[in-house]
Amino acid sequence: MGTSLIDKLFGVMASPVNTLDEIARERPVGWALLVALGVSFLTLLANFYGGDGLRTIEELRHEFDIFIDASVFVVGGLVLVVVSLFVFTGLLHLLAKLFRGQGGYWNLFSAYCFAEFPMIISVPITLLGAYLGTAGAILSGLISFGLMVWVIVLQVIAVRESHKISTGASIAAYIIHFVILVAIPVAIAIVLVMALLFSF
Amino acid sequence: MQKRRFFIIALIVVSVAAVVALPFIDGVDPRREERVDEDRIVVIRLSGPIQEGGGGGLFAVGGITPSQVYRQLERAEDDPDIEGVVLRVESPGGSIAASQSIASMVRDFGKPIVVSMADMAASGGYYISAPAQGIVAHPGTITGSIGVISSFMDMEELYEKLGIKVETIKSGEHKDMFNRELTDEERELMQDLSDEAYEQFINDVAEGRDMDPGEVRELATGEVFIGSHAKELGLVDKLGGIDEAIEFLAEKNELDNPVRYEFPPPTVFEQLFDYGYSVLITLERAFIDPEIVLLEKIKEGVPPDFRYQLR
Repeated sequence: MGTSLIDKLFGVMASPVNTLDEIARERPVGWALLVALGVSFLTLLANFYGGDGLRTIEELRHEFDIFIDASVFVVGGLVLVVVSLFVFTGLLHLLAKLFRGQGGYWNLFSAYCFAEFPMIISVPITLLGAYLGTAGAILSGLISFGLMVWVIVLQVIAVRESHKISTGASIAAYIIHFVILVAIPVAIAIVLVMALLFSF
Repeated sequence: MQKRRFFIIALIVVSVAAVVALPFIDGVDPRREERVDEDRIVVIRLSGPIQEGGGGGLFAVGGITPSQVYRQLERAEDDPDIEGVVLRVESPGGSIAASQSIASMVRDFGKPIVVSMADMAASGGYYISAPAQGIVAHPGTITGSIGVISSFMDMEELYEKLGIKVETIKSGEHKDMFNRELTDEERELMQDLSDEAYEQFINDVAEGRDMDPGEVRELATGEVFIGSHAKELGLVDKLGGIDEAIEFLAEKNELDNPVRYEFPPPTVFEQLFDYGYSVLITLERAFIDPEIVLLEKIKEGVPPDFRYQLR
């Protein structure tokens, strides 16, 4: 009999190694997906209002007469979250296997999703940041960056605990998956944009 | 253990509360800006067929509804920074009562209001535009179509083909007139109703445009006019788009510093409700056999009505 959901959520923040190991063993896939979606939904809404989402939509409307539906922004964001969760964990799983990992896909998936929970702290922080103005925005940006690093560390632990590989191998798998899925597409996009700009 | 539970639950509650509270906090939502010195002319977009409908949100219908127009005009009227309104109309018209309801809102609006016609503002679209201070249309806008149309389906033969026998029990001579072919007398009754609605259309356009009813009657053949021709006929005041409409409004009301403004979009929550509704419609279309949907519609029947509509 495992610990309750709330204990798991607390454990992810207070004692991540043991908790993520336990989650990887138990594989509560449904709860894991719910945690990841819930946190993503709240952070998307917080960034939409507290960040530049609403203002960007208004500016697009004024400058170019383009109206992007806010619900498309949020629902589209959630769809992207689900797709990226499966793609990211799928690739991480394959890379962990290359490093002779022993775990199954759903073990990693469950631990990876729970590892995103601390990001929920960014929601009230974003509110505070937006309320306090420029200084608040800087402070909220710094805290959000810190939270992002925290979540990355937790996800590395999730890979390690679910596949029983070394910390080094887990970090390597994480960096490679990041390069493949984020850095390379971003670099291609930058090159394309530059090429377009210089072609005029 | 209790402290852990409290911490996690508090974290979740605070996060949810923060998201719910965000749109209502000053300085966070751009719709709560401080007062400005410029003369803001808000552009309100009315697009689609004119019809009665729900109040918005989950049960919102598409198109232009009186409740939707009321909400937007009320918002413009209550906002002290807004000096005038440009209604951007894109509509082939629609139901008579809804058109009349919107036209009276435009007529009674407490601030300067000018219509900018988009691709099409015909029939009911023209009717709701007529009471404004002025009408600006593109040279290629399709407008006019002053007239009334009514059509309904006589389902008798279809029912016969489907093997459905309809039993009708009625009290009142004409109560079943829309369930079968009209008699000559009933056709005349319907024509009288249509003529009455037609007269109302002519008189309201004449009053709104400050024209002679006879002059409007000559144009009220149901014919559509292109924007440039409509201007020659006096149905439109100026040719151009939204910017020209703002200029027109500013000149007419002596506003020195007119600035185009648009209301911020609805909140995410409002839009999510609308989105939920369209998801339901999409699911219905995707999973229910089209023949069953058609049969449902036939069962509901097509209510007879008169419309200020292009076709």
